[in-house]
Amino acid sequence: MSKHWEIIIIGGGPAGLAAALYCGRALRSTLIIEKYFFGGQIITSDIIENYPGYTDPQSPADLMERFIFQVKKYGVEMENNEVIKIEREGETWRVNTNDGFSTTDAIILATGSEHRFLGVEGEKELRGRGLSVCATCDAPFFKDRRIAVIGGGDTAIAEALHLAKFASDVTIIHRRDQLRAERILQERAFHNNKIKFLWNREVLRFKGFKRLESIQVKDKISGNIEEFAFDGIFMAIGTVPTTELVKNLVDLDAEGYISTDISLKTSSPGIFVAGEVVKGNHRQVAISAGMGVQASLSCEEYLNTLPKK
Amino acid sequence: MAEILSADDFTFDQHLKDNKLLIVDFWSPSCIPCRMMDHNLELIAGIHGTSIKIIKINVNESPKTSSRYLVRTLPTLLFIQNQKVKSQLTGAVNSKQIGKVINEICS
Repeated sequence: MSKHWEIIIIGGGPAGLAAALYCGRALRSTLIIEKYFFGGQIITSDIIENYPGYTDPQSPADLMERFIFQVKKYGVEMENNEVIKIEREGETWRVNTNDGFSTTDAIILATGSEHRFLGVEGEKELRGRGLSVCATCDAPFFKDRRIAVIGGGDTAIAEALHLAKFASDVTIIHRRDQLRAERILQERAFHNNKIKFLWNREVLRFKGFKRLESIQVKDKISGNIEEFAFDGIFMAIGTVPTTELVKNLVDLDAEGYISTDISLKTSSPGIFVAGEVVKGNHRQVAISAGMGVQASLSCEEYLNTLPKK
Repeated sequence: MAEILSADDFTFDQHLKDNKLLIVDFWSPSCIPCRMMDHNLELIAGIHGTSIKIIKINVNESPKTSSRYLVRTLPTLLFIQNQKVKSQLTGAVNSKQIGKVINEICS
């Protein structure tokens, strides 16, 4: 049976959960829907050391458990389901899931992002066959093996540092001649004797039959084509925003991010956004949580403008 | 309620003889999404009753079974019936996605 909510939050990562906390405390009837697992992608990380207020390294899963506990405390309903369509229905929004629908006065979209892939030959076929996106999940398969990590940002370097605890050696393959990651992570990687670097390399293809065997790259300086054998390769080249659900409802920019202002409202009245669906988030838990708070406060202001029912 | 059992390299083959649809959950203690899958598998066990059997395999302790099915990413769910792999789901999935695969195999 369908139910009407004052607010439906779509996405249960740091942004969605922070928004849910504030909506709950505003005593708004609130439903938060998460497709996979509450806590979001951050829980697949090894540790989090830069969430303000925590001086010791935290387990991301434990940190997100505390977010969830806090949300439940304020009466927010949590549902594990997939939203398949959002549509305007009179004065409200209808949110359709796999097995039903709910209506709502306002939506906070915090659907986050998905792993970016290169789209090169062999990539699709070898995913889960030695090509991975989750170091904490798949590291046990690569004990004392040769591993590569593709990327140069925070995620790539954090994954390389985690994998170095298991692998015989870890090679970071990066398309530039310097990293983008936090300086403290860079320093740890440069001083880890298991970690090596292949700079200025463009990935051309992944090779292997039934399991990954090697990678073919192009040296962007010399133009030489090279091939290196690895047992496992971890992709960490960024993400793409998950905005398919609202592409016909709100304005998106050319890269698929939702256009918004500092209040995090969208071009569609009653739809607010938070987290990695907004350009420039930098994929930090603290930023996503802050955006969730901002979106919920803007949403509260919007709800106060609606006629009393 | 379906059974949720643990197996390893030594005991897994006994389960293959079962006529029921086996849902084999490959996991490791360090895999957080694997932990999140536990709740979804309990839901499935409740919905599908005795027509299925859920077998959990810790890949750290059962490398042979993981290699035999070419499992190299976690979480991985294999759907096995009459000793044949009918379907596979990799990465975190919700109970509805698991239920959909079960229904497709059993229909």
